[in-house]
Amino acid sequence: MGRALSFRERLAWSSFGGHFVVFFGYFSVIAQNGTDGGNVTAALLALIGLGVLALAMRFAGRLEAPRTQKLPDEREQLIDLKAARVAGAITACGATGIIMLLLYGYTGVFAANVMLGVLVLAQIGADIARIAHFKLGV
Amino acid sequence: MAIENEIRRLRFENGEMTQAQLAERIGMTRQTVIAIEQNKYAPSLEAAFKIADAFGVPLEDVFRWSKS
Repeated sequence: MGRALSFRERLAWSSFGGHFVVFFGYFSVIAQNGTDGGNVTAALLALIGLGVLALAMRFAGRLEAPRTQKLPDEREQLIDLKAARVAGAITACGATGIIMLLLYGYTGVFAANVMLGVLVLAQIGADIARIAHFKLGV
Repeated sequence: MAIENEIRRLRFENGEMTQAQLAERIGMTRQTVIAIEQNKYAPSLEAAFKIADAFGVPLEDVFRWSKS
């Protein structure tokens, strides 16, 4: 039987898409220009602007939540917990990798960008886990 | 999943109650009711009692443990 997406499943998809588009743009500028130069400043400003816009859209989305879905039910809470576990694992691996980078003499700016990338990856990983659990069951 | 349920049958025996109506009664989303019905999610004991209460039957008439 086909089914419409739940409010929180739609949120997970929009979060996944938003993060992917915003940070793919940012990291492609970084990859092309390195971590210095005017393009990077512009990319950073665009990143901050888009981040604020994404937060505003998320807040607006929550206000628009159907009356019965203002709070997540027990299945949605379980899915959130499992997604957070995925995000935690990615962040832990990334933090270890960053320590290794710093030990091997990479610059702080480079490490900061890798950290940002790890956080984004963790968020995207959590979104994918959330979507998978919504589709396949908990 | 080892827990099976009779929710679908009970819905139809209770005036063709829709999934949305059941969801509203037990305070969950329709998608969660669908997941429970399809054995993709095993509800908490509290939710199981709420579902049984919505149909006015004992818990064992809604859920059963299958060893297979």
